[in-house]
Amino acid sequence: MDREGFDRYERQLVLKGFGRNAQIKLQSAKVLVIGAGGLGCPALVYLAASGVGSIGIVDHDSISLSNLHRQILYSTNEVGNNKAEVAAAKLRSLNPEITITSYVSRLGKSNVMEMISNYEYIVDCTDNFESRYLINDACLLLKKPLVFAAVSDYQGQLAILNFLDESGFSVNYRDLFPIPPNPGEVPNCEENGVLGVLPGIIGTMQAAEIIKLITGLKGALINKLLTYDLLTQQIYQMDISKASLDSYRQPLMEDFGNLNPDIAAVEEIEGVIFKQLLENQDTFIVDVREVHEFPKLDGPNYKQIPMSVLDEHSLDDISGKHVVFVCQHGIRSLQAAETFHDLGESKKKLYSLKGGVSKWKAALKELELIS
Amino acid sequence: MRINLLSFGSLTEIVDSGLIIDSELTDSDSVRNYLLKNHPEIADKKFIMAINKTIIRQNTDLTELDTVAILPPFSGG
Repeated sequence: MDREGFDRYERQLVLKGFGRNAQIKLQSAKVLVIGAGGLGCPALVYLAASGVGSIGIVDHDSISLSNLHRQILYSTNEVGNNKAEVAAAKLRSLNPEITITSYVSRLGKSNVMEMISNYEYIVDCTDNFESRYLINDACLLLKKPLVFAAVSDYQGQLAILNFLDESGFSVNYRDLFPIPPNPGEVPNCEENGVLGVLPGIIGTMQAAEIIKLITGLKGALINKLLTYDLLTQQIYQMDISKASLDSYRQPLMEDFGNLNPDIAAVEEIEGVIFKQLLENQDTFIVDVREVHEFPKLDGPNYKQIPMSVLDEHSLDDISGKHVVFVCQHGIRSLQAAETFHDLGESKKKLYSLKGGVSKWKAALKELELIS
Repeated sequence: MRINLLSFGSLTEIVDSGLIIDSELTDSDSVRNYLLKNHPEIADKKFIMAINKTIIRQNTDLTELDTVAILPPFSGG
């Protein structure tokens, strides 16, 4: 770190429990902030100021006068300009040592995966359920930690989703609210109004949580939902548990269409998604266990390619767009799928069954793959 | 039984937070039924229920002075 870097971050470098190592982690982190509005502006300011090395900003919208009471990066003379571009310019001036990229795009199924795949941490600062579920599902599939926040009247919600805790447990937004509300069921800020300072507080909290995740500071809101009430200044925190597997349809890579195969690397899948895939005619199972291993699998779209002779085979003779690799515990199958993926077999979507045959024996029997 | 009800977001417009005293409140389903009976507008709302700061997925027994929170999804940003 040079002299200027030291001076810029001095106050956090001398902070007990933070210091140089944390600063280096921030410098090498890549964070994507989706939505540069009421939540996004304060989140972006603190992420850039703290020295997050690479920040992406997604917003297709232009600045309007009614935004200015809460969207603190913008000025009256910038009304009409694009938010992502103006925000990027302001942040570059705030901290020229970091990389800021603006994306003037409306987020949709065709571009969300590509955008998210270039970053390590995703911050949801959007203002509608359609985007929130889209971002959640994409983060779930790409295994990207997501810092979610939203406001309503005088209250805000905040949670860290899709991030494994110490016991290897994680939840996603659908574990909180499995099905999106119907249009008009939940009023938005436009209809209900909002005090500018509320998204200011909650967006700042999002930045704090990202900084905690990146640097490993204690107390991040992993698998917890925090609700903040501006009027009472009270905070209510609760643990999020997993919703039952049948409470929502698990998102699939193919839901997103137009996928760049480089992004759609090997995906580890489990129970319900596995079943859904197997109901698809275009799915083929490759068993990489050795011939002596039990229980034996069989079926019309099934082939055994033992790990010991993997390099003698290709996937050319396998029909189907989806290939699910299986083994006893899901470790060799992941390795095999990644080997084929690295060999450029990515015209097919490759999956590995997490937990393997031993974990999903009952499901495999039900699907008549075990005789 | 007495329970502390905490309502959040737009649900506060339908039902106030506070102590509810009703001998029929024995589990989370009975709280849901109590709310539907006394505040029928809540039937159209999606919300989750948490007992003593843990989100519940199925009917769960209550004990005296448990805190039952009802939370809707927020979308604003």
